[in-house]
Amino acid sequence: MKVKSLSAVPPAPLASLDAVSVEFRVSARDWRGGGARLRALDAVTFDIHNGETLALVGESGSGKTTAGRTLIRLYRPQSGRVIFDGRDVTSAAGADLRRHRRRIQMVFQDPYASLNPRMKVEDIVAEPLRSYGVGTRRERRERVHELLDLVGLPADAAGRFPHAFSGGQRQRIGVARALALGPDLLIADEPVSALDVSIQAQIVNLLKDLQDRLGLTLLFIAHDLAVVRNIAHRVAVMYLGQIVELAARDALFEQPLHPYTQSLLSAVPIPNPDLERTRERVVLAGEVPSPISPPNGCRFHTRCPFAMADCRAVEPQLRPQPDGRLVACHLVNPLANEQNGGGPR
Amino acid sequence: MTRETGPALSVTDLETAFATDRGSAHAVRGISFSVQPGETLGLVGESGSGKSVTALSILRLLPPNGRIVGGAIAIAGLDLLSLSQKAMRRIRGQRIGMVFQDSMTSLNPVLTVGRQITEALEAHRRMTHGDARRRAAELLEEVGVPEPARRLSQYPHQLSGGLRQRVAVAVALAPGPEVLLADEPTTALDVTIQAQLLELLKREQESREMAVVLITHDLGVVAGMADRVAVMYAGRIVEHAATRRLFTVPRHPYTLGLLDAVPRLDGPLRQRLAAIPGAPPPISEVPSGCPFHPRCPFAFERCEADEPELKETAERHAAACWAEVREPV
Repeated sequence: MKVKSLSAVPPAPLASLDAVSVEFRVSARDWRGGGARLRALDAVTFDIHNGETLALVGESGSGKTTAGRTLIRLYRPQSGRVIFDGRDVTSAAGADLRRHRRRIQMVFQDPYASLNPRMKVEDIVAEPLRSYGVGTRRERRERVHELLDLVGLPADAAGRFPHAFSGGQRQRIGVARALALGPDLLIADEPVSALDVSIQAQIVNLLKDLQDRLGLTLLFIAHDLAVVRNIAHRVAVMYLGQIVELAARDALFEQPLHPYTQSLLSAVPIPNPDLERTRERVVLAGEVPSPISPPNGCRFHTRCPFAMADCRAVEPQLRPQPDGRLVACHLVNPLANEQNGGGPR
Repeated sequence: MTRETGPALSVTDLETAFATDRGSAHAVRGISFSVQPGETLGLVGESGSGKSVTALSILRLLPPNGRIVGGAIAIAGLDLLSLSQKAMRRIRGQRIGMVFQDSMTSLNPVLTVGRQITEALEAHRRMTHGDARRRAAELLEEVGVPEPARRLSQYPHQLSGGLRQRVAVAVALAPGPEVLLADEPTTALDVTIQAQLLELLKREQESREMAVVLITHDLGVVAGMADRVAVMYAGRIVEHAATRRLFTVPRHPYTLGLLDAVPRLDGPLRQRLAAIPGAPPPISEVPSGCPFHPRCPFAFERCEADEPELKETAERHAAACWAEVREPV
C-alpha cells in the first residue's frame, strides 16, 4: 500500500518504510524448519521528511522499536521495502549497508547501560569517528570538543568516565556520540523515559534545539504521549505491529479519531487534580493480546469499546481522511463505502 | 477524611542513614507525616529524594548498610521501632501491605500465585488451607484477574506484567492491612494498564478504609489519587499540602519547577519546556543550606547558609523555603 504524503506537493521523503513486515521466530525450529513466529511489524508504511520529527507511539509490543531498528537495517524485513534518501536499502549488505548506517544514528533509553563505563567520554564520543576512519586523532579530538559544547557539556567532561555524570548528562553524552558522524536521521528510542522529570525537559529542549541548528530529522520513539506532544510534528500510533492512526500533532492531540488513540490519550494522567478527577475516561478492558496469535479482523477489537461485527471479521485498512491524516478503523471508514470507493490493497 | 481515632500511620522526625565508603550519608533527613484511615498521601520526588527509603524504613526492610538513626514510626499508635524482628515480621503483611514497582521481583518466582496468597492468609489470618484457597480465588476475582481458579496454579512468569501487579495487590490485601505502601506501583506498566490498576487501588482503598502511602514520581498519578501530597527533595519534605492546593498554589520553588517542567497533554503548547537546571544531588553530596539552592531561581545568600524548616504558610499548607515565592517566573 502506497500512502500519500500529507502535504500537497510532497518533497521526496528522507526515509520510508513501505509495507514492511518483520517476523521473528519465537520457538525452536520444529522438524519442518517451522515453529511459532511473531509478526512484530505487519505491512507498516510511513515516510519521514527532511527536518521533521515523526513520533512512533504505542505500548509494549506495538512494534515501535522494531520499526526504528528496521529503518537502520538491524533487521531485514520479510516483505516490503526500506527506502533511504531515494535508495532501496531493503537488502543492502556489506559496504552499502555500512554507508547507510552511517547516515542514521541512535540515542538509546538507558544512559547507564548505553555508555561503556570503562571508556572516557572523549573515546565514547569519538568511537563512531574511529569506526568509520574519519579524521586524524587530533581532528577527532577537536570534533569531540565541538560536540560536547553542542550538547551543553563542559570541555573537561572529555577526560572523565561516565560514572562521574548524572543521568541527564549521560544522555547528553549519548546524543553527542550520535551526532559525531553528522547523521541525516537521528532515531531516539525512549530517550527521556529513564530520566527524572526535571531532567526530561532539558533533553527534550536539547533535541529541539539541535533540530533547529543542524536541520536534523528525528524519529522519536516513545510511550509517553505528553512528551511526544512537546516534540513531534507528526505522530504515528502503533498497536500490535500496525499503524492505526498517523496524523499531524495538533490534529492527533485535539481530535484523536481511532478509538485506541482516544483511549491512550485518556489514560495519561494529567497533573491537574480538578481535570484529572472529572474528565471522561475510556478505560480499556483487558490487555494487549499476544502478537504471536493476534486477533482476527481489527487487532484492537478485543479491547475496543465500539467494536462491531465487521471489526471481528474484516481487517480495517489505513485510509486518508479529509484533513490528510490516516486512520485504520471501520467506524471512521465504514465498510459499505469502502466496497465501492477505496480499492483494496 | 479525618477521624477521631488518630492516624493509621505516623512518621515523626525520621532520619535514615547509609554507611558508604566515604562515611555516613543521610538519605532521609528528618521527615514527619501522618496518614488517616481511608486517606491517601502522595509522596512525590525524583531519584535520591528519599521517598523509597522512607517506605523501606517504615517496613524496617533497609539493606544491611542502612539504619534508622532517629525519629519514630507508629501504626495506630504502636511504636514500630521498639519491636523485635519477630514482632515486626507479623506487622509486615498483616498490618502494613506493600506493593512495589517490579512484581517480578516482589513475588516469589518458584511459588504458584495461589500459594503466595494462601500463605499470607494462613500466616496472618490463621485460616485452614481449604478456606484460604477459596478466599484466594475471591481475592483474585476482586482485583480483576480473569479465570481466578486457573490462575491460582500458575507461576508469576506465566502472567503479563499487568496481571502480575494485580496479583501483587491481592497478596498485599489478603491479610486486610490497615496501611498500604505502594512504591511506584504502576511505573513499569503500559499506560492503559496503569489506568486499570489505579482504578483498582482506589476502589480497594475506599471499600477497605485503608491508609495509603502512594510513592511516585508522576505528578499526574498523584493529582488523580492523593488527598494530600508531600514533595520530597534531598531527603526532606519541602512542601506538604492538600492535593488541590499544592497544584493550584504551590509555594516551594522546587514544586513550581516540577509542575512547570512536566510535559502535559492539557494546556497550551510552549516552544520550550521549562527545565530545572542541574540535577537532583546524590545523597552523599547534599548541598549546604537549602539543598535546592543551586537549582533555585529565587535563591539568595541565606539559602546557601541555613537550611529552612518546613513551616506552615497557610492552613494545612507547609513549605520549607526562605523566599516568599509568589508567582512562577
